[in-house]
Amino acid sequence: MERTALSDEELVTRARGGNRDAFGALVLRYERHAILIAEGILGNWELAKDASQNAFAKAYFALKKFREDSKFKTWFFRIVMNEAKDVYRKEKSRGRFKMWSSEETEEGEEKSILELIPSETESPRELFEARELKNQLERAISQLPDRLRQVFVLRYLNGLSIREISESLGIAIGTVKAHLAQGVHKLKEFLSPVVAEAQGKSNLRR
Amino acid sequence: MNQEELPPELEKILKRVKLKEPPERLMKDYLSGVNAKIDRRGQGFHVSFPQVALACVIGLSLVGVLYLTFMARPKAIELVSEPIQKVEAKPQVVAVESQVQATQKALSVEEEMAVLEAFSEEHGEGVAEFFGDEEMFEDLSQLDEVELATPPNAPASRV
Repeated sequence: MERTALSDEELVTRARGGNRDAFGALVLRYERHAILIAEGILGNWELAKDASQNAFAKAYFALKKFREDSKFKTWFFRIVMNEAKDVYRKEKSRGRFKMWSSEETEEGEEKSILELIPSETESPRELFEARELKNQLERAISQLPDRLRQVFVLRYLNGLSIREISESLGIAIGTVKAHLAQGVHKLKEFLSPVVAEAQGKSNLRR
Repeated sequence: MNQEELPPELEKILKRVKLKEPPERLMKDYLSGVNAKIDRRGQGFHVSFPQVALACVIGLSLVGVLYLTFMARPKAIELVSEPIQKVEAKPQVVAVESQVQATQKALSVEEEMAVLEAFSEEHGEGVAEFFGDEEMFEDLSQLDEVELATPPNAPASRV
């Protein structure tokens, strides 16, 4: 299926009329975003994929309830988040997996869901230190309370605006801001010793 | 809060990281997976909360009906074909009372006197002590003897 230049509203109208191709175009448009949102909540690719696919299926049948005055994107992200949160609750109660773990799988593949943005001017030592910082950040995020982590990830890793987070999670903008401030404060506390150590090393090299 | 308001050290780290893109092997069959889920939901019986609740209600109703039909039914009373024998259910106390009455009636005056004499011989001293006046007791005894002694011309109904 080819990607289309039609707007979301147009695709939604066609999909409501039973046009599966139009809905397929919506899937192609938002599949990566959906899986990344679910991934931010679940910390596991396989579960994120399943949750986001379920969210698409639910959205397909709920299209009749979708109100034209809201944006499809935020409406759909809300479904993805609810689905991912359901899966998270179930999996957490079963104790099946560790959230946001930077361990390696049995196949030697890193479980980490964060990756470094490559930099050409970086020395191997700097790259090693950056990787360490990334792992520390991942551990720090995993220690945040659920709601703070969700809001933080949606804002700073998924790149959603505060309004989009508010609409997707169904909470007030002020609450989103408060959660972000708390999350940042906690992360700063977790990371300050690591950052101080990294800064000390770089100062010594200079 | 904007990204610019982040503490510099955190901002620096966040600028260097991003969420990993999902592996290609996961995305390859993504759309077909969504379509399969839509088809399954559309055609098949999807088990979710309403279905589970409905199943529970039906199950409980069936159990209730079965209970009322078989368990809560009163037991049938067996009809006895043999004639019922009459059982005298006279209270035992009545029988004892009638025995006492019969015994009392059976005693003649002489026998009663003998019983009283035996009683006074056996417990006379005790009774005197109980009353506290031995003389009066003796007088009473004499009076009794006088009264009980049947004069030759006394009518029979006196006894």
